[in-house]
Amino acid sequence: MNQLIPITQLALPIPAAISELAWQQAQTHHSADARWNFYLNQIATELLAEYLQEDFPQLQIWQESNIWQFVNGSVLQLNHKRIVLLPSRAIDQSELVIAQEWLDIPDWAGDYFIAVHIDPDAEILHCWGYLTHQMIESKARYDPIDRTYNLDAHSLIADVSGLWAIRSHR
Amino acid sequence: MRQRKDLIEIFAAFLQFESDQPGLWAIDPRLHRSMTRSVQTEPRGSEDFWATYWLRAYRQSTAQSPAQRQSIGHLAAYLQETCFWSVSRVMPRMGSIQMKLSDCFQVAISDVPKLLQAFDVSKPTGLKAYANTVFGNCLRDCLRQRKEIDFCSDWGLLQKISRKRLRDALVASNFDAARSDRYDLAWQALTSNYSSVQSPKLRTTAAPTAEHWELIVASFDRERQKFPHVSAATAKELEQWLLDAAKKVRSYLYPTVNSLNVKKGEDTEADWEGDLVGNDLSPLEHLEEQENITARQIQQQQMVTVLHNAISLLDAPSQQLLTLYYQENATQQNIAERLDLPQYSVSRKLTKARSTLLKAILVWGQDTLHISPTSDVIDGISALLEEWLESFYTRIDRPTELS
Repeated sequence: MNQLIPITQLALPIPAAISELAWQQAQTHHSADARWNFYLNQIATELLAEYLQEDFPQLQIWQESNIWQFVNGSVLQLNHKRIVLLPSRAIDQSELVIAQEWLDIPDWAGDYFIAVHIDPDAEILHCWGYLTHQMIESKARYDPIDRTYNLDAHSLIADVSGLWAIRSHR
Repeated sequence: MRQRKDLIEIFAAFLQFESDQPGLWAIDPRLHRSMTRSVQTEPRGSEDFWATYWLRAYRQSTAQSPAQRQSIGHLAAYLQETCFWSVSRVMPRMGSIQMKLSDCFQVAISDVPKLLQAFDVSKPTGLKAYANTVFGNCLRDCLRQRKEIDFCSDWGLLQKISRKRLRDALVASNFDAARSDRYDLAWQALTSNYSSVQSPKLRTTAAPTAEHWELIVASFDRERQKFPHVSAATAKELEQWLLDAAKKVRSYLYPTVNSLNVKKGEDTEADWEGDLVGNDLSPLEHLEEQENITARQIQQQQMVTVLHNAISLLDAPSQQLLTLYYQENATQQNIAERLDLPQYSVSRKLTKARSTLLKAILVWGQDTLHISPTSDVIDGISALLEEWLESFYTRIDRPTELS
């Protein structure tokens, strides 16, 4: 399945042990939503931090305990920029849903947002697009019922390699 | 495949397939007449000029109007070769998935309306390089999803789709708002109350147990209060809706191909003619347009020189990786086997080699053109780079923006 992911994006194998452990730990949460948030974000931060630290040793994981009970998303900090990871288990990459906290709470707000698909069956993590804060503000639709910002897949920059290029160029 | 040279054909003809091979070009009569008229009013226009012209006409037209369909038609014709190359590049990587070349082509080309909507004219790239990337991604997405969907039970499938995909599938099945809302609420109740304790794996998910149904029904009943037109439902009813939803989602991914290619439109000739007049570029604008095009061509020649240099400066293993990947179209798995490397390290090294080239262009752009590398700029340049690498290594006579 990896071969159907272009090299301009990023695909990482999910080791079975990491997947199983994350799922076990997720079971302490009561709702299925919270369990999935925990599992997906745990895997996304662990694998992506490890991958990116090879090129950016200064990269850090932003720890805020228990947010996954209510909100999907986690943050990597790189040179004073906040990269928000938004993992999902949906195989169709038809939209990106962003909890409003990631834009509207000043201490939380991100500079970059990466769409991450995590497939627990194929055991693959796939970064399929990214956005800047400004792009979300200009292109997203706000959903007042779910309190989320929603974007069509076509509004994302599909070339994730460009994001690492920006970060290392400066 | 015969590449088109005639201007009118480029904006009015569509690739046909015979025995799943590219064959003749079929002319759409209305597009042909529209393009002939346009060329008569502006005989100096080049291919680039007309691409810009129809893009502008697309931007200026209202959504779903005849004028918009007309410009989409011309641009879909214009992008036929790009689509074909893009699809040819992805197809050898399909693995076990069975899909014909002509079907793959249709999947990609039917993305043109969305692609045009998202295309940012201020990007440093032209439409073709952008479309090359989008067509490839669109086909890859479709193939990945079809493969996954074949593995999934109905209950697994429902756990592995987005809410948007569900709603889209219901709209495509002509559901009215009330019925869509019922299904949507049932789906939300299912996905937020049903998960396995043992494993995160979803493909073979079984039907919920009686205990889970109790939770699902209770959750549905709570959430439906916000929707006065949705009444209470039993577990049996919810199950029935959800299984029906799974069926709709499955068939949504295997659409009967509704092709843009030589599609009999609903517009009359008069609808199109009326709109044409207002869209004419003035002679002055035309001149500016041509100057922009020339300036861009000069920059792109310089960019090619920068790239040749950058490639020659790469170390031998990186050059070998790029050759295997772009020239032989080898999969990363295949490269890993041949070079006796773990697959993740192949992908890492490939990405690195490619990003060295990308950075070389960015530095050049910043130094000589004073373009600062924002996300949009990088995205556009990366698309140009991808198209160029594909044609540089394969040496196929394929028109690209950087030639």
